[in-house]
Amino acid sequence: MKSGELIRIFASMSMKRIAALPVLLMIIVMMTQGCRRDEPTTWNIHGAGPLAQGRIGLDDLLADSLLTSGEDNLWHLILKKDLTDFDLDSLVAIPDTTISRKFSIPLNGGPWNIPAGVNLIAITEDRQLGITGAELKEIHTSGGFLEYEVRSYVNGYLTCTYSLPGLTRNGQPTVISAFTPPLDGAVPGSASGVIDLSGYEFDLTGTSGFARNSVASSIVVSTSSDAPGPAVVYGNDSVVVRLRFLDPEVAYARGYFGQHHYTISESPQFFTGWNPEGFLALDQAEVRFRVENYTGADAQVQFTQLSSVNGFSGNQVDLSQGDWFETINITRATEINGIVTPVVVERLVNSSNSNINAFIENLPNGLTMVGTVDVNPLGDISDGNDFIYTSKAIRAMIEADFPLRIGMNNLVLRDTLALRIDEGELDASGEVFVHIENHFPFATELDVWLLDAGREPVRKLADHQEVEHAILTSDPSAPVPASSVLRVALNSDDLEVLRDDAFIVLRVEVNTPGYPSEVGIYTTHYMDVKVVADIRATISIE
Amino acid sequence: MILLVLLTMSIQGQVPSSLLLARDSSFRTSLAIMLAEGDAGIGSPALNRRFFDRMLWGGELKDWHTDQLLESMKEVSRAGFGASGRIHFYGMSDTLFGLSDWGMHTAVGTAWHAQAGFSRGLFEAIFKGNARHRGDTLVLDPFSGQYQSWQKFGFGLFHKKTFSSAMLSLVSGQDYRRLEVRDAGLYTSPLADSLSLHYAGEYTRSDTANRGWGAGNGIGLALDLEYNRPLATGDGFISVSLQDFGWVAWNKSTQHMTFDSLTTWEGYSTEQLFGSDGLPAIEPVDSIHTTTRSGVRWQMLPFRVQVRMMKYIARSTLLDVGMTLQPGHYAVPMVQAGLSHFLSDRMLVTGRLGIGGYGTFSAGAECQWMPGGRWLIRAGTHNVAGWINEDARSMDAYFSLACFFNRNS
Repeated sequence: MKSGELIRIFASMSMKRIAALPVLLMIIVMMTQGCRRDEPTTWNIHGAGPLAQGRIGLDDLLADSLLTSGEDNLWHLILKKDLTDFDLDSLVAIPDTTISRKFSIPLNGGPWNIPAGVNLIAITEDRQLGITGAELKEIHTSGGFLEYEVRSYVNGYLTCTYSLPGLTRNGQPTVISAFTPPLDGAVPGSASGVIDLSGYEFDLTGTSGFARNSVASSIVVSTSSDAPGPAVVYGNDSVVVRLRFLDPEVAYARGYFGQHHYTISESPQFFTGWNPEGFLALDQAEVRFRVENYTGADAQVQFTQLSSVNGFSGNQVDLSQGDWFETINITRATEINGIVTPVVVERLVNSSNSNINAFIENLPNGLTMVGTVDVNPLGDISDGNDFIYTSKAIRAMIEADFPLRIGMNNLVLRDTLALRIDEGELDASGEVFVHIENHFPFATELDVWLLDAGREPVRKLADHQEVEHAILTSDPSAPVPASSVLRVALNSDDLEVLRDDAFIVLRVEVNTPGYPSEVGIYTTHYMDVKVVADIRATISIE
Repeated sequence: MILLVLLTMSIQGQVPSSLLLARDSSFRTSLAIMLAEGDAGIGSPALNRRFFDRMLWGGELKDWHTDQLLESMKEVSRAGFGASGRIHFYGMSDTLFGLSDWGMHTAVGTAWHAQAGFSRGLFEAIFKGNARHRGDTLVLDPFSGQYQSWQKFGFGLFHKKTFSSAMLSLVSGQDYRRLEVRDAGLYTSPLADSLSLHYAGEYTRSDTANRGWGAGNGIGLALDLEYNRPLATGDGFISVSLQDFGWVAWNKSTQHMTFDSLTTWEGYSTEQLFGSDGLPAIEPVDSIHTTTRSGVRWQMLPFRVQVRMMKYIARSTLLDVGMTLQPGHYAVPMVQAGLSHFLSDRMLVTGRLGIGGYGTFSAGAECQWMPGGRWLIRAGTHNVAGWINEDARSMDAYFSLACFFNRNS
């Protein structure tokens, strides 16, 4: 077929026929549009599979710092808590201080034409810092500022050199050089600046070396060597130097700190969020109270009250131990080449010398401590050589060692966990089974509540789900394990709640067999856990 | 191992019967014939139209529905989808190489073709879940799936009296993917505290950098042959055809992966749960062996062979019988028999029964109409039930529109 023939064929098509093709195309497009996918495909499946597995020992549930094991593999619960950290910064605090000094020209009459490079003033003297209650020889600063300003009432260019030889940084004395222009009518020529006091050392013994709270200074005022002409000086002309110490932070101080009296009233908290209730029987609990004095000053500590507080029941048990409430004299720490050796005073409290068992069996989640501290009760017996590193002064700590040979009767622990599931639009319901092989000699009963974002209860997910305790044998470290299955039901509404910052409230009730007899919890005890889900979920494909 | 079942859904590849046996043969005097054809269909002996509807257009697959499908499903089943569109041009007027009975035949077309062979276990794992198989292995193999799409540009010749034709086409490959899983299973432990998935097989995919219609990720050739011979009695035809016989060389960016893996999931460890780093993404454990290589890959097009006989059994009534053969281990020849009746000289209606192909019985219908002797319109389906009954196992439609260009148009 020739190409001309083909063209002629197409040209012969009537308009009606040509129009039929777009109509056909439109029909096809309309059919295609009618088949557009406008909803997801969904179906339901019934699936089963593992969520988690593993072996849980006590060291998985508690932080390493809280546990240690003895030679007999018995777990010991160790609690260390700073009860108070006395803030003794105020002993040596330097308030904001402004020192303003006017230096007059030692001439009479005038005018005097003073050529360039001639000294007008040369004075050395001590300046006193505004320290009260302490007589300090030396301080080291970790922050703050020194603002300076020099004002010249002389009609000429001056060079003012203000030296602070007792104020050093890296061994270098501080020298402030200020160049002031001539007096302009009534407006003095001035120069100013700021010095960051971080890392500065202050010698507060003044020019004599025997003063306290004093800074040696010297000023030399001369006509500038490069002045364009002589200065015109009158006998009543002067130069004013103004120094301002702003927010000086003392890191170290030496001197005599004076006598001070402080009151202690502390309420340290343990286990925030846990509100234990129930009954606990302890064996051989031991609590060590410890006071450490890192300051080069004597201290006298007098505790008048130490109580355990159960925040859930409100019960309070006061510690009764005679030694503890006697006055504790703590002598000063020593410092050799910048290394401080603290003085430590300890009081050991156990079941034989106190009511520590009742104190602990109260299940405290907080303590109340009341007392006083006196600094330098005997006055200046160090000849002005008290010292303090303000970052670490006097600490009081508690170190408790509870061998986990305990009896528990309906001991209840509670916690609230924030939870959020970010699994999109998963529509599912079903059950979560927790298969447990318990090698611990205690039984637990678990209750779980689901709370919405407003902490309003939605549903109880687990109701009195029990885990049997292992059966004790003649070898307490190797009981016969007991198997239990916990069941937690979840429905699609629960998942909807969990997608919106929900909360889970756990209530665990723990019991040991034969309470109040104690059972040991050993490092060989554990719990094998397998968490399995059996869910009916709706699969959705967009 | 499954050799893919070639469920070709290009249903009506042969020339419309009206062009061979219509009483009104005036169209033979036309200068040329332009024939546009389109078809689409989906089917499976195990799945039904309700399932296909939900999967393709969305909606809920009810539990009773998936239960019903699973209950009636054989251990290994299959499904297929196909759609195509073609425009043929037959030059009727001139001679070709001095042979007056032969004319030029050109065609352009596009096709999409997907097929899958799958196990009952795989369907159950996906649509029902594994909960009923604690302490048991859900056998997921064999699975074999393939998807191809391409465009054809053909040039050939045809016999004006019988419409026998031969055409060689340049094939532009658009997309090719093939997944074959020889061995796979999902074991669920009795407590469901462990899942083990093992799978071994291979996956091939064409260049992923180019997507969409006409992407041109491969090039090939295809041969289409059709032989229509009049019966000796002069009252019918016998036709034999071979369609889409050819290969595509998918380009060097085609990836071929083999895998042989065992993945075990026992849940997060308690160390991860109690850790402060948050839960990591689920990662397979045990052995994973995967190799990937890229390179040109030759792949055959899903060809088919069709045989058809049409014969007048009365003045206005034709009997037609035919068979469609597709290569493959699980291919079932599709046998059809139908009766066609001329309602007028220019309108032919056909009822046709079939079995095979997708493995189920089907009853189809077709109508061919030549309005004014200048058009031919053909529309039909191989399974009428697919349009009216959601339980039907297949659904398809085909449509042809031919235009006869006469000298005096």
